[in-house]
Amino acid sequence: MRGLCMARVPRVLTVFPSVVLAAVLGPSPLAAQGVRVSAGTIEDRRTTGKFFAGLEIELKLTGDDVADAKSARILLKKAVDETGRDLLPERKPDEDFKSVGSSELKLALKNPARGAAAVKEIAGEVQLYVPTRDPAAVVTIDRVLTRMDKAIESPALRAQKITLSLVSPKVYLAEAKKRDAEFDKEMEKHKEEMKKEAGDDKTAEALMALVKGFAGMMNDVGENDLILQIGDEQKKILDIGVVRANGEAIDTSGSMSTGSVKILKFSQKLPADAKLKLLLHTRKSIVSSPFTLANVPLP
Amino acid sequence: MLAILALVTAASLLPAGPSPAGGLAVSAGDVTDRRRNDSFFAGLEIELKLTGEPAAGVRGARATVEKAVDDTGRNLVKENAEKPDFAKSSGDEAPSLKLELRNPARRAGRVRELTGQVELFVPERDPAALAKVPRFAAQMDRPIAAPALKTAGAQVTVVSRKTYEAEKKKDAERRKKEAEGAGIAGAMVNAFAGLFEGMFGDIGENDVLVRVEDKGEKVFSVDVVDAAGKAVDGMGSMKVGGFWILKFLEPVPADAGLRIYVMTPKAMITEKFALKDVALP
Repeated sequence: MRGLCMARVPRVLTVFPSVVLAAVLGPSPLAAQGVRVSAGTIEDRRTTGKFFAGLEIELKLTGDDVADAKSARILLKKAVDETGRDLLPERKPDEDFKSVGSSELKLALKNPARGAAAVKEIAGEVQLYVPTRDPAAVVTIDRVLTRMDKAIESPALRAQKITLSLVSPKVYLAEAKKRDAEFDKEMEKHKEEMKKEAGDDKTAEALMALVKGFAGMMNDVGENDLILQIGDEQKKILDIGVVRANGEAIDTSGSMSTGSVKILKFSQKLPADAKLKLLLHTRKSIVSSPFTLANVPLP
Repeated sequence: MLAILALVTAASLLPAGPSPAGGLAVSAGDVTDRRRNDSFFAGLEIELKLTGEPAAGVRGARATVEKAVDDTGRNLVKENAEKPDFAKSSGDEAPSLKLELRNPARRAGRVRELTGQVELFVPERDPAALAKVPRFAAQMDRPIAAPALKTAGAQVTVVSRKTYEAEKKKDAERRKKEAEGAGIAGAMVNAFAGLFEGMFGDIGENDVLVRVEDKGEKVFSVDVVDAAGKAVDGMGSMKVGGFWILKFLEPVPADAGLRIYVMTPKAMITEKFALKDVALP
């Protein structure tokens, strides 16, 4: 195993024994086998302007468990450049699961010192979501179209403290005005915060108009779309899709989410026997491995 | 002759350097150093701010670099860089300009020296820089007769759909022939060109199509105006080959005219600038 003391080894990775798992996550996830982490594209965006400064490091994962994983996330614990500057972001970083193999698995860090030539150490934990490890991680709801405008009863979902109901486009659109009013009220509440964040009133107003524009898109629903009202306080749901009776996935033409509502868009009518398929984050479906990158050269 | 030099020390921290009365001052604005290990979109971008009397009334401007060196001695000028397009003003203020340079050394703390020139287009300085064309619909498919265009050696023609489609077809055939002569590489280039044309070359029923033949690149802008001379709000414009497509959601008034700005020598101001010790982020 390569140690941290190795000097200037480009994009070195070190996978620690999986027994050193962090206890902060409650019951420890199971240990992943042979996961290797390396740095891919690195961008150090330095600016005297207000926005978009930071160091972004794409992470690449390889190993047996990675091949079976649907998604992955990084829980970062340490990031320091060779001058000793702490690169951990002030705000809590994005810890959502991302598709394995996509370029979405990135670390967003603070800019290193201008004179630093390398990031001395990045340490954390990589978690893989492997639904095949736990039957409870995949829940299907048969003949979903017959369950319109009522709560979906499912012991498997109840066990994970998830509530779900399907809202018909007719009912959903009838409530659009009420939703818009609530949204405006919410925006008004955050107006001052936005102004502070944006730096000036004009930029804040432009940003708010943009947010409102996006929110308005949530009212653009077609007759074939599936509108889901979801209660999932523990954020167990990782993915929702629709499959045919034989399990074959039906492609959506996009999806939108806001608050507790998720809309799956379909360009064609769904078959009467279509099923809803939910991928859930369960303890047994998550495997984990600590990692360390040492002496990552900076561009 | 307007004053030329604006020296700024620690340009990102201090206001623009002293400029002689009535002169133009150039100072550094935001500096962004985008460093990547795959080199895609990597580079140093320095915003230039223009202030002073000549900056008022500026409709467009561009900046070119002559020398850029960091404090380690590294040359930051990009090789074979093309001249940038003129940035257009929005409102009354001069546009902010951006210089695209190579990344400085990681250990560099400053851009030691940055020199170049700015070109400003100020149409108020020359009445001949503005050509007004009333009721352009009556001159469809005929080159616009305007002394400013003639002097600039440029030809501007509002074209009908029929002419546009015919020209597009002719151009596609020409490209196909060229591609056939260039083997597989040519075929690929042709396929990509066709793809882009398909994406962007489509025209809406209310769009105004203008053919601009302008080898000297003197035509600055072509706008549709109403009978009172006020610009008709549109959805922007795009260039496809020698055509400028002015996009509109609604039909333009039947009596709409054109306002064409031409960069005549009298309407142009060229100023040298020199910045020193621009701090790097």
